[in-house]
Amino acid sequence: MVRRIASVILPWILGSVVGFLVLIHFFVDIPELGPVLNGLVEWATIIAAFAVLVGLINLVCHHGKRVLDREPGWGYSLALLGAMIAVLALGFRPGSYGPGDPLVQWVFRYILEPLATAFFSLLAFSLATGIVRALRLRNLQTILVTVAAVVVLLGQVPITSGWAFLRPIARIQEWVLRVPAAAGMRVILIGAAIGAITTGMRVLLGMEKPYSE
Amino acid sequence: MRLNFGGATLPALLLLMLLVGMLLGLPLLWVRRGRPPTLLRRSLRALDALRAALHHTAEMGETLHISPGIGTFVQGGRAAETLAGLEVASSVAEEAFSLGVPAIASTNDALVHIAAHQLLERAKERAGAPAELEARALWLAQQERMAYAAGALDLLSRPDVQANVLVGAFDEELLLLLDAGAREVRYQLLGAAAPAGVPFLPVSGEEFLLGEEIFVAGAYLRPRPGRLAGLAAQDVIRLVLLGLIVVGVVLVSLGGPGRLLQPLFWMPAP
Repeated sequence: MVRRIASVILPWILGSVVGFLVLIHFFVDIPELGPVLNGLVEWATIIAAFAVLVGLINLVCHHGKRVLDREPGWGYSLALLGAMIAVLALGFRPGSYGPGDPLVQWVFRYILEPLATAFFSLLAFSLATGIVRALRLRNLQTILVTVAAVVVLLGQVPITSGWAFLRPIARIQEWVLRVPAAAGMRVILIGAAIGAITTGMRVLLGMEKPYSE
Repeated sequence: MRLNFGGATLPALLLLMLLVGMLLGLPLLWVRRGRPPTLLRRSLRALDALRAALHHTAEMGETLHISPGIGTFVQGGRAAETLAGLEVASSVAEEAFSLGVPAIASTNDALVHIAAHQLLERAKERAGAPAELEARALWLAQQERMAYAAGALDLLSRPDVQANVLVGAFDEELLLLLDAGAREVRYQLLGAAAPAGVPFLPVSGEEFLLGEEIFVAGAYLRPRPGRLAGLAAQDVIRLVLLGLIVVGVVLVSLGGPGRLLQPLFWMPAP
């Protein structure tokens, strides 16, 4: 019984009370609630930061063991640990401003961001293979998606604006984005919003307990 | 965003919350009395295929990969989509563990990682699976989509991972993951509700859950009273909204009183 109170009932009551207060404060400006709820949001940030710290310790233990045991792919683990130590050292060195330090920012701007951009540039190739795969299925849905994708792509490429015979494609692309795409996206957004509301309410009312299930 | 119902904002909000609470509470009573609200329930083909795929994965001794996406629980972190993804992950994992299929869950946030770890452990407990069956939650990155996608791609290239369930908060990285999955994995179930992830679902050539379906999948996979009540509430809210939209469109088209309603039915283009 004590275990149930500690692991199910207490988290539910705390979660529901805090959740309802934050929800009300989100929609209605109640000045008295402001400092309390801002404090709660700060707590959430601290808890998240602590979870990151625990995760980091776990990561060091896991990859450290892989390196010590010379498991397959241990070189990657060593690279990960090296990169982690380097960034931490830059952030914690004497005189550093932490995450805002110019050296740490340099790492983000000139290493992490170009890597992310390069990685996400692969999306174009993934989209091309996806379209080929979809065309193989030969059903109405995939054909419509493919035709719409091609029209929108052609309509947005700057080179088509100079070619008179491709101008109608730009107009069709505009219509596709403004009418069917906007209507479809609104349907999806409204449906997802209803789903999000009921999911949130189920958690707040304790019908769903993601923290104790 | 601040609401203003003629100065009665708080009572109006509380009334709305009470209405949604009643919409959830009434079906819950029906369900508990043994009358599940099946009137508006339709079959989700993707989930029927999932069951068959899990049986096949069990027969072949392969592993399942699950992900609730790139979201988190903190403000602005797409908590509802992440919760829906975790609900699906929990149900799928339980079904997999009951068949003896090992499962790995990958996450992009430390808090979601902790929740996923706990959910896997509980799912294993409920399924009565042996302790040695693999049930791991992997924290691949901290709110860094590129690093997460790179780590998940590596997981999908593992030869033993042959079933892949990506349902939750996904954006463009979904395309990279589903493309790799199409090459490396025998079965995939995909699901997204965000405008940046949804367009890639039809080109996957796989089974998928679109938009609101990710919020109801848990109820289909593991129909518990609370989840079935949520399903019924969602259907009722949808019907009410549909009615309001039709009435609004008619009134706005006819002019006159419609002008007063116009701000209520306006929505920015996505």
